[in-house]
Amino acid sequence: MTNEQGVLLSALQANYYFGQLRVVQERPLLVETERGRKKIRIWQNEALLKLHLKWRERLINDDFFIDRMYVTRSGLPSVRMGSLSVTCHDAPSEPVQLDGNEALLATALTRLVQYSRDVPAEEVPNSASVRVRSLYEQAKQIGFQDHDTWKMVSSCFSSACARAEEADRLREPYQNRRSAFILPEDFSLQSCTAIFDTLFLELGQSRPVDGCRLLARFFLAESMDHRKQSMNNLFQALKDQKLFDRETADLLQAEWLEPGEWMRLLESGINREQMQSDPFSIEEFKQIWDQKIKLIHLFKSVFAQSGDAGGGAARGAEGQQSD
Amino acid sequence: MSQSSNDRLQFSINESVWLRNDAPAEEILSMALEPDITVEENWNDVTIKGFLRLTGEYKPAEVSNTTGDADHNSAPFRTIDEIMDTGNGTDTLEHHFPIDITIPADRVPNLEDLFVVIDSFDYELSEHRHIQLQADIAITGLTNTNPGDRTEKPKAQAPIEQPVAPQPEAPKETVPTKKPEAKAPTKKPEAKAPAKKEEKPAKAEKKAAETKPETKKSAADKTPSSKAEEKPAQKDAAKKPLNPATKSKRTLGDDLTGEFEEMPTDQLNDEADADFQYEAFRKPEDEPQESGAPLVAFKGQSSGRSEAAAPSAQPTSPAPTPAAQNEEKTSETESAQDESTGKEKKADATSLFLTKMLAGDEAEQKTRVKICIVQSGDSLEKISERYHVPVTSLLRKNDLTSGDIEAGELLYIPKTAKAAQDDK
Repeated sequence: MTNEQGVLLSALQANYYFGQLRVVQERPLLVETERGRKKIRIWQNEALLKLHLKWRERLINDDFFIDRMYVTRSGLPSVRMGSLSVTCHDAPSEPVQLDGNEALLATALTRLVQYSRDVPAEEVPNSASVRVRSLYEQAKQIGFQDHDTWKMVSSCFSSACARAEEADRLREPYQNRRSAFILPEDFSLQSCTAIFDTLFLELGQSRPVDGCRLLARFFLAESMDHRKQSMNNLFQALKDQKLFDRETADLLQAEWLEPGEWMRLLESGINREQMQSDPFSIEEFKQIWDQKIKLIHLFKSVFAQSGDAGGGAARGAEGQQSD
Repeated sequence: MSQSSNDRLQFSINESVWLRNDAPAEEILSMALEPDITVEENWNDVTIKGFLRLTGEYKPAEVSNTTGDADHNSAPFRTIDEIMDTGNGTDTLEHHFPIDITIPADRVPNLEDLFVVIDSFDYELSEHRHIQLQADIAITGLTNTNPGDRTEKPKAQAPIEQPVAPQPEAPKETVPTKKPEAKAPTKKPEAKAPAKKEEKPAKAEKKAAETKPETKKSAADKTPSSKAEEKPAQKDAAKKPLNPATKSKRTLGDDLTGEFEEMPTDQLNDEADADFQYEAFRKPEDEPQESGAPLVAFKGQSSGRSEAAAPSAQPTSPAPTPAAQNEEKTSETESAQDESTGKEKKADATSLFLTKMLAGDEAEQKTRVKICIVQSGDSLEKISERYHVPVTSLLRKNDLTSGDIEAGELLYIPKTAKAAQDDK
């Protein structure tokens, strides 16, 4: 145990009601206590900590635990240690699988979409179609040597343009909103754990970013790992929760339509020409491309049944602060 | 033993199956053996998969009450898969013998003509439980090339139906086929035949007191296994993989039609036809050394390099077919190995007999592939017709488990060099 770690454990013991503390993992720091396993977060950015605390408060609900944390003996959310702050959270170790937990996850996602809203932290990216075309022109000027990649890229160019334009069209009404759905940058299914049927959702320590983009990636990743029926169940459960207003549906579809995998394949080829390694194979590209197409179709088939997606009541370009 | 003549490959099988101890037969009333197979066209070969379905009806015998020990309660060897009581004092049985045969694509000029035909079928019941089967089977629709010119190809799949080593001088002899239990890839086919032979005397000794001759009938006249009758059935079987494709969801195709610009399939094909190709056979020494780029599934043909001499890339598809995985060996390499390794060669020759018998010129087996973007309203059947490629090939090439395709997806279109030449 390092000296810093010893000081930290002493501080934890002094500030929380833990009789025993034993480090079980250093990164992230996990300690075993008589009250179960806890995750210790060390914050260097006070502003980020305050943002997270406020964010968490907005999301607290009766259906699941959001970043369940402990207050100190003096009732404070964190322990101050010099320039750092320390928070203590529950750390269930049982991961949540999508299969069989679709309704549980749908409840959590619904809550997030409704209440996890703030000013987007990121800059609005350039139009997807502009990026697609400029990258393609750049690659043509460089002169691709990788014949296979170039053939695939050029074969899919017109399709990539069509998808990018459609993505731009779907995003356009929501460009100037003051409030948007946000999620922590590292959000994934690994952010969810469970004890019995109780879901623990971790907000973590990452900065908030565009939630629709992350949610779209989350769905894509899960659809690649799970059978179609499971994704269908999840979408159906989300539909039952009336999660997707027009804005969310449009932005999710825009994320899937944006041919990021095509751009990545192209960039990978360009980097290879410039001796920079960014391996991204044609097979990986095809897998993602096809899966996105399937996902869009599945999404539409579930939500278009009653016009829930893409045609329902709009929350509006301004978004809505629900809390 | 097998024999390749004109357009067919013939071989015989001798198999034994056992009724369970609690379901012995007094007399077999009828029995039929029919193939239920699918034919898949791959890059370089055609795979016949499925099973021979043995069905029959028999009059059950009285079950002896003296069988108390564990040995008597279970059949010692392969038992019939399914037995059903008809309620009329008879039982029906059904058993499947797996088939997995790989034939080089150049030996199959037309998939429509490829059939598995039961030329003759006979059976014998002994000891109330032991059913011995003998069948002459033929694969038709093959081209007849000079066996001396043939090149042995790597084993395509582990669970291949395994005829024994060829004895060309014998016109038609019995070939022990691979047993269902032998699906475990580690089991050597050579080990099976002696094991089976040993089982028989052991069983005969055990049941010597009970043994009596049972009904023996030639089933050729009462089973639908004649060639004429098999052909339609075979066609149906071969088309079975198409069924999922016909169920493909098209409900969203219309939705996308209005939202997507039509994608230029033709443009892709025109480009791909000329040089967007993949050569399945690759010599290890030809692997490009100068490029640090990862191997990719497609390898464009360099201009000015002959197709035969051009090095080809190893496929890096996530789930390459066994055939593709095994295609690294060249015919030259294998010839050298044939000369140097006696025993190994024997084993290989045995296990790869059918493939070896039917293998053709390596150059002809190089495969090209095109890519198309699925259009709204497309189905696998339509694409299959458009590109003159079997649906099964599309399924396999694209690792599809069903015919579900959606507008916008990318599909690899396999194309043999031979077909490409025909197109020209």
